[in-house]
Amino acid sequence: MPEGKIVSGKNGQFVADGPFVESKEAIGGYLVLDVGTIEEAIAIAQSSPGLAYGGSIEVRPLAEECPLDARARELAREEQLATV
Amino acid sequence: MNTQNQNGYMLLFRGNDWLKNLSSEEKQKVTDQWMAWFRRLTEEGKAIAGNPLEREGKIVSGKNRVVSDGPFAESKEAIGGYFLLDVASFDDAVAIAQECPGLPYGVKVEVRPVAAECPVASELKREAQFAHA
Repeated sequence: MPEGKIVSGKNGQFVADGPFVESKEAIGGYLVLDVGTIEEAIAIAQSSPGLAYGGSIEVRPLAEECPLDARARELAREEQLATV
Repeated sequence: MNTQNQNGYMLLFRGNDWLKNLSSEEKQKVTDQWMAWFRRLTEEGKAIAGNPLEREGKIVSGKNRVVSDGPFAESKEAIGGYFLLDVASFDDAVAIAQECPGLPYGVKVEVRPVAAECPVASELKREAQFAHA
């Protein structure tokens, strides 16, 4: 069973084995949900059969645009305001 | 290691604490590069899905299904987004990961083969086969 690799370093020159197979933090799978609110997504996460055995589920909203982009625009606006 | 995989590969982008040291110009530059990179991979048919994630979310855990805040907004390990790749080999997926515009700023890219079926289910099947053999 192929595991995974972690790529890092300025030019991606480090390719290490990972994540370690048996770890509480390693990601074992994912589901993309189409629901109206984060509460619904959380309720679905709470129905997972893995929870009783120590699994945990991270619930994350997909971003419409990259949060980096939004933040960069915000900062640019702040800078603009500061110079007015 | 079997390097062929029909189900694709997932790139998980880890780390979101690297931004705070960048000027807004630099941030804009990296995000533009990142978007252009994703567009190119999509046009080449190598990326079939991808999304940035909002910074914060919730963690559900335990027998009692407790909901807590997390992951913490600024962390080296937090996942900021993912790409789903349709490429022929693990090496191709690693080569694409090595092009990530976030690498010079400390982002790490986790490359994982997508499994056709749950590895737990395959393990159970193997165990059952041994038991019957």
